[in-house]
Amino acid sequence: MLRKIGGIGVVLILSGLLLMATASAQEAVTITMWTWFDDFQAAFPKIVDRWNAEHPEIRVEQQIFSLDEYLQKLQAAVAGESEPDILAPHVMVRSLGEGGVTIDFNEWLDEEFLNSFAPSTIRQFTWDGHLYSLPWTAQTFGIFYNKDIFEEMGLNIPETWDELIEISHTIREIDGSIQPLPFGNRDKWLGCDFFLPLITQVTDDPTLLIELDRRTDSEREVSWNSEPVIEALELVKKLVEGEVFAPGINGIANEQALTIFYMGKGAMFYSGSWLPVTIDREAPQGFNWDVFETPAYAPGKRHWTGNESGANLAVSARSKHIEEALEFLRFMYSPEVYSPAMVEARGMPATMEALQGLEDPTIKKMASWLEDGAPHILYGEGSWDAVANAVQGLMGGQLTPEEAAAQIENDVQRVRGR
Amino acid sequence: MRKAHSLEKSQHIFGYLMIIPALLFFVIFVVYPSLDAVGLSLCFWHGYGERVFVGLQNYINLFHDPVFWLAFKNNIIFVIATTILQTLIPMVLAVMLVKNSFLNTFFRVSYFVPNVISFIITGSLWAMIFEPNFGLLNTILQNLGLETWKQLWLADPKWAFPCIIFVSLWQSMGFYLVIFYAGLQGIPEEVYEAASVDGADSLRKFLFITVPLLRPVTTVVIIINVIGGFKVFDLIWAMTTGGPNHATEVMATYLYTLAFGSIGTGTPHMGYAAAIGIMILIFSVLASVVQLWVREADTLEY
Repeated sequence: MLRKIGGIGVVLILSGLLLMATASAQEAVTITMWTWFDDFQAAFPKIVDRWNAEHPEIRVEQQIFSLDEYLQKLQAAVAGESEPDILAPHVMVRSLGEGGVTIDFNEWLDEEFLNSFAPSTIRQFTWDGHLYSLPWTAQTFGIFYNKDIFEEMGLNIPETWDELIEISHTIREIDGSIQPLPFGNRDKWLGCDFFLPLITQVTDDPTLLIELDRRTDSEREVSWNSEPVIEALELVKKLVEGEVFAPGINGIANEQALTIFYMGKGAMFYSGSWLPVTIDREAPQGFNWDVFETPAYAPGKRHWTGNESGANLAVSARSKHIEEALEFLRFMYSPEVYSPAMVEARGMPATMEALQGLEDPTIKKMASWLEDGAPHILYGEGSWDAVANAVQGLMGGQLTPEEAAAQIENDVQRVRGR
Repeated sequence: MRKAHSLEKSQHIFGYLMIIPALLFFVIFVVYPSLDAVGLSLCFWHGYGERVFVGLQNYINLFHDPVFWLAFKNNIIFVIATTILQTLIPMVLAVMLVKNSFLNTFFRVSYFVPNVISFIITGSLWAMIFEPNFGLLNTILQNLGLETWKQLWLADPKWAFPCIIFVSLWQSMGFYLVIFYAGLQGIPEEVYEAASVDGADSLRKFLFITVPLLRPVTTVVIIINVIGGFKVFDLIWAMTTGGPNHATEVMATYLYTLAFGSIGTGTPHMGYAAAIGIMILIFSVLASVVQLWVREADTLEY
């Protein structure tokens, strides 16, 4: 009896093993993707559904997080070596790439595919010949303005920062309850976004900021505590003292400043090309707005504007399905998928073909400023925090431009010397 | 006899078995991470790749880091201010509201309500109230004709920290009030009656009966305040993120920026951040031990 039961047991176990083997042979590969691109909440599920329908052998699961929680979540996943196959490394792109966490796309993707991107967007994620991320969107900054206020007060679009100061005075004189340019620097990041392109405006040299950030691969002697940086800081001080911004700049969150702009209590608002879709979503009906180019440092100079986007995609080097992840990325960037997604999300595309096919007048206008694109994201150790704190000190009137420049240099040196 | 002994033994075993899940939970989620944090504080680690053992280098760097010392100084100010305010005011209020009446119950509940809101939400709400241009506070001051009282509040390094301390008091007053209220229930009524017979007025009763007899409760409140003061994070993060230019930086916000980064920090310094975490732990334990030691040397009985 016992032998009989034992025999049945062996048969059952063998059948089970066989079934499992068959099932795993047929099981689809699953690719996971994490991003913080909330403007693509509608587009991404459609892309993924289409892919999954067409490719049953490679299943994609995507999640979009809010940026507030995303980086911490990604960092925890990376620390636990359980990051998704495709990830949006944001400002961690360089450290994750150089730390071997994400792949070098130059080793995996062909030149033809990489040449389809706008060159500056590829340059942004390339260090020492290694490309650690693919740009999902491009970006430029501009000054959004309330057309009604400009028309009522007879204001002209300013060509230079000095002209911006002049129209700010006019606004204050005509209606003291309207802030010329509400600016929220409580969370520190907008101050950096505003100040860093000014270094290129002062020098007409977009490589200087990159070298200030990287240091190690710079052939010339560069320092934050140097004349061009101080000059750019002087300009920020001039704008603060010219009462361009609302008082208490460091006590206002970006969202609060944006609300002031929506309420018609602010004439202008400094932001990036992600804003049009936000205005569509949040502004009261009938809000009459447009955007103009970042003013120039002096008449006749170029209108350099921050052009780097934090929205980029990398592939985990620890993924067991790198090839499959790349296949999905090629699909995402294929013109018939990528361009409609950009149109739907009102994003600024990073590929040449999608850029040329742009129809949205605002995004098209802002994309035309890409040729005056200046770097404004810092990836080097300690640089961003150092700049963010010093710019807060300067905008709040606690630091002079010289003191702010010295503080940035000291902070960066201290962090890198640890 | 033997049977009884074996029953007792089996009950003991059963008891130990019952605490295993809780013990496992405690070891996995408290003991192990804490010990790992100590180990991490002795390493250089970006949050990925190999941890490099550097001995006490992170601690040595901390002692040469002006931002850390600024954060430490801010923590001390916060601890002193909140401990004094969040002990004295709730104690006085608890005494005032101890008698059971409809109005007192209403006030006790009202004071407690802010406590059920998370610090992050409280911080965000008050940051809107303190907004310098269209915020509620400046608008009220303006409407009352008190324009000279208007301030930049969170944007002004002089005012930012007092604002945060005020919000902390607003948020936690109800919690400490309830603790003191519970403590007051334990003071025998006879003591007050005897004092009345001796002709003591309300102030004397408060100073010479209530305050001394509430000492065990006061110790608990002070310890909670001191520990809370050293590890304060969420309220400050929501209101100022440690700014402007480090003006409200405390050890926990500095730790968070180093480990997880405000937006824009590309390279986490996990080991260094862990060293700050250990320092917060040491300061909190030290302050609590001193407090308990003082308390033990001065115990009252009635």
